[in-house]
Amino acid sequence: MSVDAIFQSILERKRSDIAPLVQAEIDAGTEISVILNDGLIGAMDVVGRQFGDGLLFVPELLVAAETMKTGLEVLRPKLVGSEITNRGTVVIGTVQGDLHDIGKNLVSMMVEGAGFAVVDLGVDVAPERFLEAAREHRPQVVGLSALLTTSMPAMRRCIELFEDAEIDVKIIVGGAPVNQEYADEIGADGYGSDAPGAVRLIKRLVTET
Amino acid sequence: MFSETPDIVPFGTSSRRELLTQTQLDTLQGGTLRLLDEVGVRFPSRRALELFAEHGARVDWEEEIVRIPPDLVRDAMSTAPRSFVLGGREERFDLLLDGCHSYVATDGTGVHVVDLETRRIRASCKEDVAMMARVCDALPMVSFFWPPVGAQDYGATAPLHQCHAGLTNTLKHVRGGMTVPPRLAPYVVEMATAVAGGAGALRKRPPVCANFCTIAPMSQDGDSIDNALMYAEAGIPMSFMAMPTMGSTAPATPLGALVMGDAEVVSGMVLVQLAFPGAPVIHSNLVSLMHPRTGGYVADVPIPTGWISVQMAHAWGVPSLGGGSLSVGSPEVGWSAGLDSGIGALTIPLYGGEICGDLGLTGGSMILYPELIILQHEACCFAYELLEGFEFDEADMALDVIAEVGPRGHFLSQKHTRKHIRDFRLPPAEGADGLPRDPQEAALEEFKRLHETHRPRPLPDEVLAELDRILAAADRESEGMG
Ligand code: B1M
Repeated sequence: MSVDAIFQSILERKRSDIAPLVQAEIDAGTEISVILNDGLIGAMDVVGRQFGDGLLFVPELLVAAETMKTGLEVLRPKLVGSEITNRGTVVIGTVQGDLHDIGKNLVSMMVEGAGFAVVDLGVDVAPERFLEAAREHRPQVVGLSALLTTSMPAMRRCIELFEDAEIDVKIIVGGAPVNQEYADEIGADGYGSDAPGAVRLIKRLVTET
Repeated sequence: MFSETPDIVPFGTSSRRELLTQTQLDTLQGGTLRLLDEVGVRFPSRRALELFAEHGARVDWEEEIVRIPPDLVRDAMSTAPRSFVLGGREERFDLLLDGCHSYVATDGTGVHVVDLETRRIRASCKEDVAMMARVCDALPMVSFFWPPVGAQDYGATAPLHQCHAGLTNTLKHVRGGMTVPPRLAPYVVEMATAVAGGAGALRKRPPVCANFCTIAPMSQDGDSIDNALMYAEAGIPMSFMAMPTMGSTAPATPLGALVMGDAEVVSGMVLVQLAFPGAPVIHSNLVSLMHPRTGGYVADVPIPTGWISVQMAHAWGVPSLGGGSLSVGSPEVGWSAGLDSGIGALTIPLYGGEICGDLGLTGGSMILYPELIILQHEACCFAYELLEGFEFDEADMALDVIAEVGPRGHFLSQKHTRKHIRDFRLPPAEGADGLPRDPQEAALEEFKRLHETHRPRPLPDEVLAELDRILAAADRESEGMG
């Protein structure tokens, strides 16, 4: 049995090919974990490396991620109730008072492409909304993005709210004016300087938990 | 003892070239009108939606989207003034936005500063804004002061403190009305009124203008729109600035980004004209590119989007903010900063936008290298002298002097030589010995000299006290806002 065709269709970004390929593997009795890890996630790891090496452009990365998502949708009914899961769930959003979302969207896309389920809350997200989403989706990681120095304090408020609510989740921060020092100061669990960095950080934090 | 602030020196427009033909401009404007009519713009502001509905635009109340018929756009835009004044402390610092001058402005609002003494990068603070205002006050080619960095030592009132640091440290016009929560916006009006010397004077020669960014694609920011209406009522001029990024928030073609940004900007200006016909508005459409490999922000692409947006602004009959830009993409002051600055300076008179230049920041408007302003000012002086400073005087052919020297002589001992040898400006990055110096080192030295010695005349004591009172009230109000 081989998931090569699935793997290949992601590398070649053939969005319309992948669903029947995944279905064919399921029908052929290939183990679900093999389709997921060796096929879908494995291919996205390669895509991620190609992006990191500058071989792929952002829109191509996006289509590869969407191809993988299409495949994942076919697999999803088999995952429900099984021990096999995706890599984890990440809730992400741009903090209150801030409407910048280009960077946050990029991070969401790459995290999703790396095999995580992403719940994107959009922009101008109040701390209470992050908390609500964390209660609802039980993510391993909550990601806060801020581009304005005047909206950065909303990151601190969010972390304080999570501490008060005693929710067990890792909170990471990022955005152009944010740095490691600020992340440490407000008690965040990590700082991502760019989208690939955020993916590495999330992978590490999820393994630790 | 206070220092004399030199007169401001704008570029003229004798070197301006039109890039697009009238037919091409009409095509673009047709695109804008179609987008406004068919796609519409999101205005998350009740007041704005009501104003549009009252004037016959089609309002989708649920989605908060306004679709504006072409005739309504044209009628509203016809009330926008083509020329008006941005005031300085004295009339000689006024900017006349009339299409015949290009005024050089600083860039803003960055968040990091390369510290003057430690040379380490740190978060910006109010004193950095004050320092830049004082130094810019001494640089004649800088006519318009946009606080280059944020006053991060203040919270929600940071933009008010940036405005204050500008108004109290330079005699030049200040772009002070940045995005603040609408409850704090009246304090900007109060500060501008105090400095202008009353509400009537504010309307005539407003010492402060504001800027509001639209949110690509095809949206406005609710707070900005509410503030814009408040400022327009008081007579504070404002720019609507679109920042479409090709590939992410805008189509990946320059014309697509330009037409979409234009539609966003025009929608804001239409609203202001419907509410307050004749209110001074400025068009600004800054197209950038999403870095295809990293998604990063690339402002300095060699495509003439700035040039075209100036023409588009003028086609609407309003002044333009943007056009020639010295903005530096790389984080460092190196070769690429030199390239961006040199070429950018030359494009100012070529494009002919009213307010342009964007001096002082690197890293895509993020990092302040204090000495960069000196280098970029120099680039502007160079461009000015090259394109504006040359005067044709027949006597300068010096035919009689050449005849006197004749073949195989020299001009060293000619009186004519002694008379004119000081006409030329020497490269500034040069020691007294005539040997070249590291330009950045020389610029830093000059920056420090100006920083230590240039003391612009302060505002009258009672105005300073009034500004302090306004700021204290705003700070208290912002604490109450949590
Ligand atoms: C969860 O974990 C993580 C981990 C990593 C994370 C992460 C989360 N989030 C991001 N990352 C990281 O990964 C991403 C990919 O590598 C990176 O994301 P970035 O977002 O950094 O990078 C993006 C891929 C590309 N970068 C960007 O898209 C931002 C570029 C700049 C130029 C910028 C833009 C484009 C915009 N703006 Co605005 N804008 C600026 C920006 C200056 C700059 N050079 O950054 C900045 C941030 N803006 C600023 C300002 C002032 C404003 N903006 C405003 C509006 C806008 C636009 C709408 C026009 C537009 C945003 C469009 C959009 N949909 O996002 C206004 C605010 C609106 C609001 N309430 O939010 C307004 C207030 C302007 C106004 N007067 O209206 C300045 C902030 C100054 C300050 N003191 O904080 C600013 C530095 C520009 C400037 N020099 O003036 C990393 O940071």
